[in-house]
Amino acid sequence: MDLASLHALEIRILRVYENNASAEQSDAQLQSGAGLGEGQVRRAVEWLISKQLLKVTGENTRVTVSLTEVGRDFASKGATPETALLTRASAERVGIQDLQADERFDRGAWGSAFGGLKKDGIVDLDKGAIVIVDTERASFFVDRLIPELFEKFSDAGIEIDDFPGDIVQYIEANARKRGGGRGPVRLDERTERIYRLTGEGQRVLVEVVKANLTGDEISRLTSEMIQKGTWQGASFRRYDLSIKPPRVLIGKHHPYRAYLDNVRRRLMALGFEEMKGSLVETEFWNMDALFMPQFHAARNIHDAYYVTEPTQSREAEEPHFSRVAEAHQNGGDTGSRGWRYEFNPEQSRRLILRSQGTALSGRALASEPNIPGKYFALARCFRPDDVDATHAADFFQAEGIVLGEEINFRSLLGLLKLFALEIAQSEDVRYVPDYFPFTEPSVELQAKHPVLGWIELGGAGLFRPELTQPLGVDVPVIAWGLGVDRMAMVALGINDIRDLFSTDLDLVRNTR
Amino acid sequence: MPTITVNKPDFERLAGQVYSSESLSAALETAKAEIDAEDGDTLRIQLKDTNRPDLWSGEGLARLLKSHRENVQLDYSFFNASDVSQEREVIVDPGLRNIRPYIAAFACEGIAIDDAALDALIEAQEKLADGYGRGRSVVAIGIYDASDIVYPVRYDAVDPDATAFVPLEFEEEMSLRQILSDHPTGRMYANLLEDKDKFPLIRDSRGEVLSMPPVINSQSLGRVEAGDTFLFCEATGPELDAILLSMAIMAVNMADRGGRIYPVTVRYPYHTPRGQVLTCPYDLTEPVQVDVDEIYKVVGSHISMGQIETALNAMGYRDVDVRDRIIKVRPAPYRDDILHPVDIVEDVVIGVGYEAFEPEMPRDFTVGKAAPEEDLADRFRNLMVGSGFQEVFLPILCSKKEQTVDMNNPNAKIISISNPMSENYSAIRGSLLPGLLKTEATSRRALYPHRIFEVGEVGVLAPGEDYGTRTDIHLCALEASDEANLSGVQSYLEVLSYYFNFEYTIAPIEHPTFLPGRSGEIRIGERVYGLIGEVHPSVLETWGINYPVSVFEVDIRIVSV
Repeated sequence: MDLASLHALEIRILRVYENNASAEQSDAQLQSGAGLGEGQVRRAVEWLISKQLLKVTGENTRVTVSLTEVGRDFASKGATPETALLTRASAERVGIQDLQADERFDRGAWGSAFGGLKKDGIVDLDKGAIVIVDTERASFFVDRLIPELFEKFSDAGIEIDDFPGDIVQYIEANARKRGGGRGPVRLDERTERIYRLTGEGQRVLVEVVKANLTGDEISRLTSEMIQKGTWQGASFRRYDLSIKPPRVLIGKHHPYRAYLDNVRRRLMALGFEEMKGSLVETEFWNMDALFMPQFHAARNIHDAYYVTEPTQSREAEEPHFSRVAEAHQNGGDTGSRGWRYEFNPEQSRRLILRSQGTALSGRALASEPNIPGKYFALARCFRPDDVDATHAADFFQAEGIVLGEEINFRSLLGLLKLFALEIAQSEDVRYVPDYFPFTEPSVELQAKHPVLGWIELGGAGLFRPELTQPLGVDVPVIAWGLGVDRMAMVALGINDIRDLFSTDLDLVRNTR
Repeated sequence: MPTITVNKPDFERLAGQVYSSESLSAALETAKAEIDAEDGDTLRIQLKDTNRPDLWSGEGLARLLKSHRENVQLDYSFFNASDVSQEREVIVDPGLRNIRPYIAAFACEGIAIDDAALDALIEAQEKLADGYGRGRSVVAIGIYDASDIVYPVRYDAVDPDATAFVPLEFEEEMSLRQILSDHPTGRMYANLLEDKDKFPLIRDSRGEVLSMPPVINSQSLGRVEAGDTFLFCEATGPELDAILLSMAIMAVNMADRGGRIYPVTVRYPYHTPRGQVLTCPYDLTEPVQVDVDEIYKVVGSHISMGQIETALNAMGYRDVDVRDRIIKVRPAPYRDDILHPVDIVEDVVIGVGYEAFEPEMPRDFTVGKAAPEEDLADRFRNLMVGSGFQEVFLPILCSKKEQTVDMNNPNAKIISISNPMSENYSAIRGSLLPGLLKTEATSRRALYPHRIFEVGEVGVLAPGEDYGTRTDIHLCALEASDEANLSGVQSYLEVLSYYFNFEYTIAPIEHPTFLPGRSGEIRIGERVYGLIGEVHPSVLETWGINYPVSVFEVDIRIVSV
């Protein structure tokens, strides 16, 4: 056994057995032997029992005697009414009135003392004078009661067995019953356990003695000890290093946000520049500029959140506005026939909550981007949906663009492969035809998950010329998006998307 | 995204192939479709391409799978019947010009209609009318038992109060206006007609009513049942090309089921974009040409002419003519989604198969960098974590009540949503504090003290801006414990002030969210950047928070970058 695992209190208890390792010791004996208080002994004994160094071998019921307030009064006066009465009656002729003039006790006490002694046949009244009838029993009061009982007490109680038989008789006759009466003494009953060292306990005791442990080793090194040099020659308690303290509460990043931080760092490491934008967006940048026709199913009133006030942006942003409108109506000079409908400028200015991250890409294209260039955004997006385990009130889209003369379908596949590897740590990917209103061709990226099988990581495509050219870009552009919410759920082992934005502090604190 | 229901044995008959779940999933990738649910013989299939209504039916999907598998183009020669049909005519009333001007129709004989086929035809009709036809406003389609129809059919504008017929599923005559108010389907589509003086009505030459488009068929001619073999099909709407495409799709769907398609000629009393006499099914497509170099440029590698030709045939193109590095093709007559040559390029790539192209790693050198405001936000986050605060991360979409009334500040101005799904998501947050209080309210069992923060976007009204709003980034820090007080939380503001090197002052204010005399504005000079204070116990009570809470919230632009 590692002696360091022994607490100072335990060592002091073990040491009580030092002279007789197989002795039995009661609680009271341990207290006096170890010089410890009742509570300390109780704790140390429990620890030793749980370590199987000590065992309980029996129980004693102990009855202790202590003085009540009345008793302490008798002790301080050196007399009870009975002893005082008998002492005077044996020395002189004395009547009850004479006694009652003696102010050591009040009249009632003298009266009841006489009554009690008379009833017991110790005294009687003869022509107004008290006479002692039973001298033998009277001498118990006069000679023994005060020195053998009342003067024995200091602070603590005394075990009843420590008193002689006649005193015990007196005690039992005069003890205050639990809580009631005005008797001078009180009896307390308590059960006390008896302990003996186990075989292992005896062996440990030998080691403790050999190691010269006393339980008085210093537990804490203080600055004072260092400054005064008193640490020299002192013995320090050895620690039990197997016991772990509680984990402290620390400041730390939120697990989902930390996941997004990681995605963001990786994208920047791949040479992507971050885009930011407004949460409130116009239909123009959110949809029109992305060549989504104004009659498109995803532009239904049920598919975006509209702002109550203001409802529209102040003005359409030229020159992009006119060129985008033309591309919608007849293709403009993009080589397209367009969507062939009447473009509505009012609808274009309507304000909505950004419903797709691609809105930021459109803006980047219109803002003289670097060529070659790579851009990304982690954009909060909003779509009306019933909130449940797979639909959040708002969600993140990781998305962006890559512009360059050399961009084509094969470099699009290459980029997706790179994403799978760098961001999802997946080497096994496949590409499936997909549809987005703003890209052609379009690809869905799937990656093999060891448990879940093929999962969708994201989508991508080459922006349509009807999108890039009106925004002033003449080189091919890859547009890509990654389903970071779902990727984070897989990485964090979360099944309910709402837990990504949990308000449960315990969950947030305890997530690794 | 459209979702369709198909009967698997019926689908397999059309596709000429029996599929397992796996093989069907794989085959459907070509159509950008995936199995959403499978229940016995019933499949629910989701279609990603919102621009290919020809695929929104079992017939359409089966057609693509079959032609892709067999690399053959299907022959729909009835589209070339440019002759005017004398036998089957529709005469259009001049009064329709400003009501619902266009109609197209065809007839189909010898088609075997069992229950599965009938369900499929109705499914196709509904997807076209509700999805592509935007709730029947742009396209409404009717199918009829043709055996009792006597030509010519008339498409008239009539007085809705003076005209009556027995609508589908009813037994007595109702006036046209009555149908809009008393018939369940009538009520559903009433908004499409109720403001018109006259309503459209289709009748045969005897005056027998076929339907009142775009609302409801008649109970007599407008009922199709399993066992019928001779059908009449029409579409009406305000956009001619949309109804012609819808009829083209319905016609090929019926032809795929073995029906012989008979053209119907429509005579207009007014001019249309495609003439006054139009015979349907009508081929809308035009020849398209693509430069092979354009294909190479988009794809990034060389594809042989033979491969291109095979791929285009497999994807349903006609008249594929490859010569002199120019490819001339005609899209299938039921497709109207070719806007630009890149659309043809994609079909080539899909026809060849994505797996045939070797991914190429991007080679261009570019510099990665963070947005400056996100960089700054990260520095705030790191200082708060270093100060012992746990970061939280919450939705931006929120309850308007929580941002205002529950903060004891009912007049606070925030950006609200005009079409919310529920009060819980009826605004975007203008302050981070309500979210942190919500966290407190749901974390009463978590060990105290609580020190939490969020750095995140908020939306604020900004009348000076073009959008009338602005997106800012705030930091909100909150301390909840028996010892929490203003100076305690301010000591963390001191941390920011020291390390970001800004000098702020606190100007006392009375704010309903906070205890009187215990809140202030965080200012630099005269400009206000945030608030600090001890949250009012009545607010804590509203949220059900049992511990004192002190907070500060600042705009991170308090640091000049």
